[in-house]
Amino acid sequence: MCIVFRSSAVAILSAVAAMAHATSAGAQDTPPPANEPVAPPPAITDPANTAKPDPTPEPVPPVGAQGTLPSAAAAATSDPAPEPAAEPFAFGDFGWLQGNNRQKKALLDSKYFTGSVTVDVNYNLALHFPKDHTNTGSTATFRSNELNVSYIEVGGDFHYEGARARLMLQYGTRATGIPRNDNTPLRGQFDLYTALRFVTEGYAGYHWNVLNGINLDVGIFKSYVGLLSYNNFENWNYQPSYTSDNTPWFFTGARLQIFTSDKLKIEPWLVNGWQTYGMFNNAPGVGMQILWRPYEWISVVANNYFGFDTANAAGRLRFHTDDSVQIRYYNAPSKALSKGAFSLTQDFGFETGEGVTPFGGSGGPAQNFISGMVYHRLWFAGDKLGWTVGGGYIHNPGRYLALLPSGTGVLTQNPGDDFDAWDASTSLQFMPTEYSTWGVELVHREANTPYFAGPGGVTSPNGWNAPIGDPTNYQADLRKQETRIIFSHIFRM
Amino acid sequence: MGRFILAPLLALAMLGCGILIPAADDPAARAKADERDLCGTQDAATAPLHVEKVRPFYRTMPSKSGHDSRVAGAILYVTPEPGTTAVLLERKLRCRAAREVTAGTQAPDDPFSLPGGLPKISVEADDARLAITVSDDARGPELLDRARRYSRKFAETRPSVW
Repeated sequence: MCIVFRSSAVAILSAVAAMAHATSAGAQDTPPPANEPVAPPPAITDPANTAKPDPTPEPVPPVGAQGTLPSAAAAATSDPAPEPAAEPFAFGDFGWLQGNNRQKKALLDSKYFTGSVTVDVNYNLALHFPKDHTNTGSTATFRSNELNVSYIEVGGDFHYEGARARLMLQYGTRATGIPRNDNTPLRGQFDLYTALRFVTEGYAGYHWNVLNGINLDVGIFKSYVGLLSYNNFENWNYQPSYTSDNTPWFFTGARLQIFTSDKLKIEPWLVNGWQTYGMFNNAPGVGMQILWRPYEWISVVANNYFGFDTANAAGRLRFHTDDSVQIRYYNAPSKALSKGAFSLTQDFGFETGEGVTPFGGSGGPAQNFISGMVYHRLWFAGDKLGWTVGGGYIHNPGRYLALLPSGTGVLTQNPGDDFDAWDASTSLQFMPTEYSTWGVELVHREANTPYFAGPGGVTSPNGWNAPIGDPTNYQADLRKQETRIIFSHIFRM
Repeated sequence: MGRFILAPLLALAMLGCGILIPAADDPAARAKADERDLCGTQDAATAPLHVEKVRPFYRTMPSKSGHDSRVAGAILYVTPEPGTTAVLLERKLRCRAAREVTAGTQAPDDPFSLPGGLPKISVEADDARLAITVSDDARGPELLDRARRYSRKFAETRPSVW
């Protein structure tokens, strides 16, 4: 199995390298051959005083080995015609957004393939110093007090005419930490964990030049619920607040992206479930995102979801809405303080049916999810330094979206179980180039029930699994609060 | 043990940020290099530039929603004068842009130069036309705006622009 995965990675990397080579071969930074006769620099003259040009254009002489057209130019080589609709959200630079790629140039871009590689490593210093080096209640960090390869993503987009596909493979602790929150592979046979844990995104799609573009993608794709990106390179901070951490990172299904203008996207989903490979019951989940960016300084997004996502409770309906607004209130690229922005996110959801109700009553105990988070960020020195302060809260009776710590029975997930928590963090990011981010982050989290790994760890008395350790009769050491310092380095190309 | 490495690590991280910030892009230095490499000493007649159309030049970046596009400049489709090749036109435009930077004489509606910047210019053959791509990753919309104004001015006056 490992050989298969390694072979896939090698093949992808080879393709990326070949495409990058082909692309760079036509780069304009290399001056044209010096054996051409050199004309003097042309000067723009006053149009009113210049003669009209010959209205009959003559054929262009052969230009020799000129390389290929840039991909964008190739897409617009047809004869004069009505200008094609603008690309969505391309009118501004939205790299400042929380959860958005700040890069301005894809180095591995070509006419048919745009490659992407991310390597995310961290040192998660948990001040409880758990003896098993295990972190609980997080989808960003899984180990503590040791260097960790958290996330390696390799892949890219294939695009030719209208056909498109994306394949992104993932390695690192996220490849085991994220799928564990999905119980649908336990239904029936054939191991979906093994089949899909190394695929962050894999979909086949098609693009239509209708309105400002319509895309249909079918497969595994990343979720937008919770504002922050699964790829931490795109985030203002490393450890997301609960609103993002406890909502889906991916969906398996289909999405239809309809760009009605270059400022508005409407995107319905039909998916197997809430961050699942398979389906819990017998009906798919449905959802929709509406993304509106009327100006470069504001972004508004609303996500909504309905589904039946509880094992052995086919009639229990889940509803969730996740809504964010982000505003860049200050922008002075040439100043020492170059940008200022904030994000505000509010989530609301509930489950109802089969013994639970949204807010309690005769039908059963309350089972809902109310959370919010706010982040504020300042950029300095030409956007090479970023300082973020933020945090959030979660209220989740029934704990149906809580990330349960390891250890059998240490934290139950029964109707009526309460869970309230909050977090605060401050992070400093150093971004020397578009392709590198170094971060240091202080995060403090508290919960109303023991939830975070304490000094005794969550594995065994000596912190080891068998045969070195013996977990028999061991009770995980959980605490109501934790403080961590996360050092990180993320490369992305 | 772990507690004692915290302070040095923090200090190193903070200190590193200050030391490691790379130098900013210097358009003047690039202009000097372009002038040296591309500009000749011969005098030659300049050719008119027939702008047929202007289109945005997009760069595409992978993102969580598939991909993000950003305007990084403009593509000007021009009908070339007889004898003008893509290579020659690119040399002329880049040389001219470099000289404008060093002389500090940049016209307001000139899509081939930017105040305080030096856009990248490349020219490719496109059937019977030449496609001139001018780009600046940080100031793409500004370049596109200049290209459109330049094209409109050409459409109004049909001038010989150089």
